[in-house]
Amino acid sequence: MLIAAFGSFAVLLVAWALAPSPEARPADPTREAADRA
Amino acid sequence: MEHINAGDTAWVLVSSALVMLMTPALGFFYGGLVRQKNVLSTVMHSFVVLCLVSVQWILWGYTLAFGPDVHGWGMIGSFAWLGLTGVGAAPNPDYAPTIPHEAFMVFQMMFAVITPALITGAFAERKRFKAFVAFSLLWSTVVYDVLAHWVWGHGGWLAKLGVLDFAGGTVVEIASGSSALVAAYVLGRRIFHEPGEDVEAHDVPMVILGGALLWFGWFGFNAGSALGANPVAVNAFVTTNVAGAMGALTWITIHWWHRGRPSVVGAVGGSIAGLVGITPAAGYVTPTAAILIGLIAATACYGAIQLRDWMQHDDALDVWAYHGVAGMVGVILTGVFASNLVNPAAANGLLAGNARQLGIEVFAAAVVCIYASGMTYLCLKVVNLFIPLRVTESEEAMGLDLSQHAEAAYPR
Repeated sequence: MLIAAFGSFAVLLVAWALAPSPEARPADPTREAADRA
Repeated sequence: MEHINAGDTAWVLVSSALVMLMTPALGFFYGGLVRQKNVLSTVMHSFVVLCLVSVQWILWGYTLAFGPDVHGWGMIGSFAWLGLTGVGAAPNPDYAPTIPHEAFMVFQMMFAVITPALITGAFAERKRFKAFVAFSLLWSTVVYDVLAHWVWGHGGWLAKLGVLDFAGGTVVEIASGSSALVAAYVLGRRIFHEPGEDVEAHDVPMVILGGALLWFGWFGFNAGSALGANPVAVNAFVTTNVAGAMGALTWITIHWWHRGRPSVVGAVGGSIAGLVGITPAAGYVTPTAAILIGLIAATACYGAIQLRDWMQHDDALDVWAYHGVAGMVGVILTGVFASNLVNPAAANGLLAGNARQLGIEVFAAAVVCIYASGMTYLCLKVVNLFIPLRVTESEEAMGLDLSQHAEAAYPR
């Protein structure tokens, strides 16, 4: 159980580290609206 | 099990919930103070720290801070309680003999949560989200957990020296405040923010809401640190309230004469300074001493903010002044005003004839400040090797809400 708990937290952290930065995503309509404002 | 006291356990659990509330309250307080393009990212800092450290504390933070001391050196706890192994319903007499060990653990967890959240005010409006996550996890482990062991851990070297820190003047306030100052220097100034320029709070009612909830939570922070429903908790409750009140009154007065108006944001900030000041002293001093602590802490904090430009740093939300300076004042004044008539388990301070206690408090404040500052610098440099600490100039201009989270607080 201890190993599973550590493992799940580690997987989340690695997923965060590898996650794309927001600027790499398709344009967000909310963002576009704010950019225009 | 027969030693568990229901009243003590209930109070510590309620206090844990009160202290938990302080972290999102801090998010509101900080969120109201920044520009509206950065409010979500600022609130998100506090919310994510709450989640991140809640897990870290269970897995390895608690055992490093409060676990059995390694080699008797007083430097760090062992891995004996990794994943809370052996931490359950039975009380631990070294820490709190009348409540389940797990209740003590969760109360301490909330302190571990809010401390790195306090630092986020220094690098608001310019820190990359991923870098913030990595830094917070690293800082919690190598700064907070270590300092908590030194000051509060069974066998911690500063604890053995006799330092009095009732609820975190060193571990929470000086550690976060000095780390914030280092972070402000390492990250550098915000763009579009000139020295001497005050960023107007974008939502003053939000600041007031956050500040009021922080004050409310502080009753758990300080009175809960008695670890029982007892006379020391009652005294801590009273001293906490009056120091916060005196801090606000002092700030209003100084600001009125200095800037010509009784500032609302200043009143809230002054109460925070007073509450920070009383934190290490709450269970050791009388209510009248608490009035003086609130006054002196708020005055020193106000003065520290005036030095911001002279010191050439951009600590965005004045974490160094509120927590570092007011925290140091509180720790030092604990060595002046502490009385074992208030708390028979504590040493006397200077005014009760024990000058040595004042020396211990000054020494502990300096040690914690130096360790936290140095390790924070290292943590930031290590994180920067892998993830740039700052967002790009265009992202900062756009605001962190959109550039880091692709969300807006106030969509049009």
